[in-house]
Amino acid sequence: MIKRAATPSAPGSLLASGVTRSFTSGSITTRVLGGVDLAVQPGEMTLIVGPSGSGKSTLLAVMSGLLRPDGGTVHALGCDLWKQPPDAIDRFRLEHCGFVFQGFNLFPALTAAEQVVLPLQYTGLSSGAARARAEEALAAVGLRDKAALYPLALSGGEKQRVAVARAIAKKPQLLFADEPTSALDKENGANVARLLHAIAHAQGATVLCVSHDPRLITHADRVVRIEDGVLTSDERNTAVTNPDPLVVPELN
Amino acid sequence: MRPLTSPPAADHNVKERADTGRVSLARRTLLYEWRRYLAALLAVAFSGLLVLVQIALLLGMFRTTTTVVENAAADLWLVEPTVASFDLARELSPRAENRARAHPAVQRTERLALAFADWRGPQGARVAITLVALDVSPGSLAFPRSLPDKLREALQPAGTVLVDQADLNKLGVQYVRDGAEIDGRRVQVAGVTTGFRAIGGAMVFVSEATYREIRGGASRDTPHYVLAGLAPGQDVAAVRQELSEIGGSLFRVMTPDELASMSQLYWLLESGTGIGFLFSTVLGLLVGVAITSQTLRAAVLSSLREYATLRALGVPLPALRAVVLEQATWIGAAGFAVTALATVLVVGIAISAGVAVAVTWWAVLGTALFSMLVSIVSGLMSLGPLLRTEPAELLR
Ligand SMILES: Nc1ncnc2c1ncn2[C@@H]1O[C@H](COP(=O)(O)OP(=O)(O)OP(=O)(O)O)[C@@H](O)[C@H]1O
Ligand SMILES: [Mg+2]
Repeated sequence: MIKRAATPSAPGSLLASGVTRSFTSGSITTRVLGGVDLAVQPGEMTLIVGPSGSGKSTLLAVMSGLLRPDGGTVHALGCDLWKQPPDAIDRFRLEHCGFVFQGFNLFPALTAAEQVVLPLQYTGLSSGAARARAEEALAAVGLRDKAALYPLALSGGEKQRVAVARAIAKKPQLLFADEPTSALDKENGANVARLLHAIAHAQGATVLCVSHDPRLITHADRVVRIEDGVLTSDERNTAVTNPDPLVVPELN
Repeated sequence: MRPLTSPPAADHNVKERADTGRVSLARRTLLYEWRRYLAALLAVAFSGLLVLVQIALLLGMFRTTTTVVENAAADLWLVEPTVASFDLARELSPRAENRARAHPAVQRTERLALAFADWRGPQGARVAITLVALDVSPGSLAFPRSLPDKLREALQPAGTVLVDQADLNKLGVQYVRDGAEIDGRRVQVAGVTTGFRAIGGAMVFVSEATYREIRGGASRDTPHYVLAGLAPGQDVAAVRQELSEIGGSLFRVMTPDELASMSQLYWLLESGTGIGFLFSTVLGLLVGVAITSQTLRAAVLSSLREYATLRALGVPLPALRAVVLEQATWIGAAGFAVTALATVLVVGIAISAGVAVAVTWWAVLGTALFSMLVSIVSGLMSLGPLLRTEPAELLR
């Protein structure tokens, strides 16, 4: 199991310090992350914005245990993530992390409820408990009535909400989203953004979102800007416009 | 907006669905995209059919060596320990029959002898034959159950023989009561059997008395086989075990099925047809694996992003591997079911067309294993793209 190492003095549930990462293609090596320090707080939605190719997705992958950095450390929930062996990192993600991607990545053969149940089954939940959780998560994203539908019968916005339900059903402490709204229209994008925001506030989850979609900015509690792999600004969003949350706080 | 109280009907539904257990991604995908997997299923089924029908044809051919065994009423056969196939008989120790008879469960014993001999037909046709010398008294164990009792009685007078329908031309026999010579002794055709075609030469049935007459001084009056009939209600397996212990190194005790299977397998392996069979089986394996693994691989590739999402969510790689292998296993099982059905059909047609075919349980079992082999190997070969899945790639 993962031991909770003593965390550095900086507060936050997700801490990157001095993270670097380069990619080599052919003879050319490009430095994508140039020493990033970032402390992400629980109970709020942090948004990383920046131009295309600035390293947003790479940073998210490094901080979520998907991509090993070249240098620096990531502490997630007090655990020095990249010191762990690969299967322990898998287990950490299984226990604590939810993911939402730009593509919805739903299995065509499964109903909305089954999409959510499937990953839960690997967490050791009984199938009955997993189904109850899935039901709850689908209700939270407003899809209670669509639980029995296949992806083919769902709109883009509904598919992304199923993906969100799949990510939040295990009640993760860390929720990562990469361009979760880029494939959606204005209204559906706003719905998903509100969902992510509400999950952070209702469950105290650490929500880290990455996007170049400026519409998301209004929903985030904190906006971090990255350019060429370096953080250039870090602002609190005092007036979050988040009317009419879809997530009911009683999800816990 | 979510209603504050949930309708009770919905909760009821949830409970019902919960009872159906885990969601199997493998099975749901197979059913949902069955068209995609049909090619794989048919490939497995076809390669299985290729194997099973070939075995059936070969066994049908080699079964001609064991028709006597399979049609006899004996419960157990005493066999010289080094015999590899029924038709390659060796003399048993003369003590064997007495030992068997001494066992209280044994009700009747008979002796059976085989010999190669020289046939000279009515018009002078010369053919190498196999003489089958058996007990023709009432209640005979050895006399084929498939033949009418009248034929057994026809064999009782000394110097009479039975020949098979299929060999009449070869032997130059036109009428019952035709005279012929075996090893220079005069015999008379007393009747015609059916179903005892031999691959080469011909099978000729004689009584023990006629056999001694023909063999004359060459006969040492030692049988090649002793047939044992047990008293009703005896446990064949138990008696077989006891007789085996009594027999020691003098004889082996076999059930008719064992003796037949051993002989057929011997010819399958010894005749060289086994190599041809092996060749086309490997060919079937390759074709089956090629099609099945391509189908599975295409399915994996089309769901790669979904699999990668599961990986990101922490589902371990072996669990995803298990999904593909489960799919392969189902394809193998369903493919074999189709093989079994198709075999029933093909064998039925062959039998009605007079082609010699035979299907044994071990041939069926072997084919089932073969089908599983095809699908599991295919499954393993289609894992490649899955193992290379990097969830980080999803983030670009
Ligand atoms: N696996 C890889 N191999 C080579 N280069 C890569 C790889 N992954 C990312 N890069 C490069 O790293 C840089 C940053 O990529 P990244 O995906 O982090 O950008 P991004 O900020 O998410 O951009 P976008 O807004 O377009 O998604 C890009 O120039 C990209 O080409
Ligand atoms: Mg990106």
